[in-house]
Amino acid sequence: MNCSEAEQLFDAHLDGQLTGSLRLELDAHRLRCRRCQQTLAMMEACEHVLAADRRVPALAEDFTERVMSDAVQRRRIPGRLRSTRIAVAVGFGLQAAAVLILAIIIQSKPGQPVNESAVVGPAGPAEVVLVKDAASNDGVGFSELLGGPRSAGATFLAAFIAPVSEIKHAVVGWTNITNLPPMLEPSGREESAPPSTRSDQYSL
Amino acid sequence: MHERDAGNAELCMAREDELRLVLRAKRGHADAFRELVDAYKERLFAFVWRIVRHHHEAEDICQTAFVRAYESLESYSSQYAFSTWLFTIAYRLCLNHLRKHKALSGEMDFSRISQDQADAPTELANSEEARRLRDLIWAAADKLSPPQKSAVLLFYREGKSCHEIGLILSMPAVTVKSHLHRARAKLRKLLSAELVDDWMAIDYLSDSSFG
Repeated sequence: MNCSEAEQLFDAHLDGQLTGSLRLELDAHRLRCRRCQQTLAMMEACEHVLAADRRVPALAEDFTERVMSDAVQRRRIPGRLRSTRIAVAVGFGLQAAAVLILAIIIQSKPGQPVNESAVVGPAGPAEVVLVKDAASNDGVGFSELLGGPRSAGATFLAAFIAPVSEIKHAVVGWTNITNLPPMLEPSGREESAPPSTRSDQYSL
Repeated sequence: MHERDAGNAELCMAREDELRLVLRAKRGHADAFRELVDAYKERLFAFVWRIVRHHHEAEDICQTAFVRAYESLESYSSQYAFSTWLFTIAYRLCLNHLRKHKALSGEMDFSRISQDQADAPTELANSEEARRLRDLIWAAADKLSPPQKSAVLLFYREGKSCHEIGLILSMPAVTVKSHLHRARAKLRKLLSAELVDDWMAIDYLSDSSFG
């Protein structure tokens, strides 16, 4: 075995994986070759130092306390965020479902005398936005929509916004309305006022 | 190798104990995680400090590693040792730190070396010559690339197998072997230039020297 062949076995020797005749050959070469002796001695010393030198700065005494304080604090926050996210997601889901159901029911009865084209906006008890198109000038008011057995849509809407006393106002947009029901009269306006083409605010 | 295995066995927490603590910590028992921190903090800090070579940065990285481990305990798979998972987190944080700081400062901070370790019993080990040789070795190790150095530290100090090191460094075991091989070749080259005659007379750098 020459030096070049021996060097190829250094790694296996340092890993303790050299056995049998190869190990004997390397040992024999090592005894004869001062250069390989030097190299292996150096690498073994290097291994010893890398593996066992414990000269490492000491950790701060309160290290564990700091870690635990930080860890416990941060773990609480995701829990709170998670429940908030769930609540928000459920809220959005319910709201979207309500709007969807309302839209389907209203759209499913196009031939009804009450010709609401759309109900737009948040369908909560505080505010309802009802848009009435130009063709539906039969004078059916919001009160009839709520009270009359005209359509499933109207019934649903009446049930949906049952606490009507909490409704502060409704914004109704229309054109060419001739018989404006009294409850939907514009506040402080004359009945003879010209029909409006914009959305106005009415008090109930 | 011999000492490596013995030291590793001594350092390792029993696997059953480790799993029991992890399970309890997963259920929200902070005291169980505290035990894990106490069990691994020194080893983790030694590893991190050897890579970043800055005391306070190393402490911060260790703290972040433990906190992240606690936050994501649910994702820990018990098929691997907890230390392997922990070292993986710490290694990635080290890499981020090194990327930020671009280059190692090379500054040795021995100001806070603990007294009991500084007072190693063997006279020879504490001799100026022994210290000088050890510093030479570490200076050479500091010139290794981060993956090479990490592979060397995990292999020699932590007694990890190439497969485990591969998990920590996110590379195949074959690449780990290659890193180890190249690291040894580089160390040999760097150290061969230094005091060739001394290496034959340094038996005192054996494990008994490190108390």
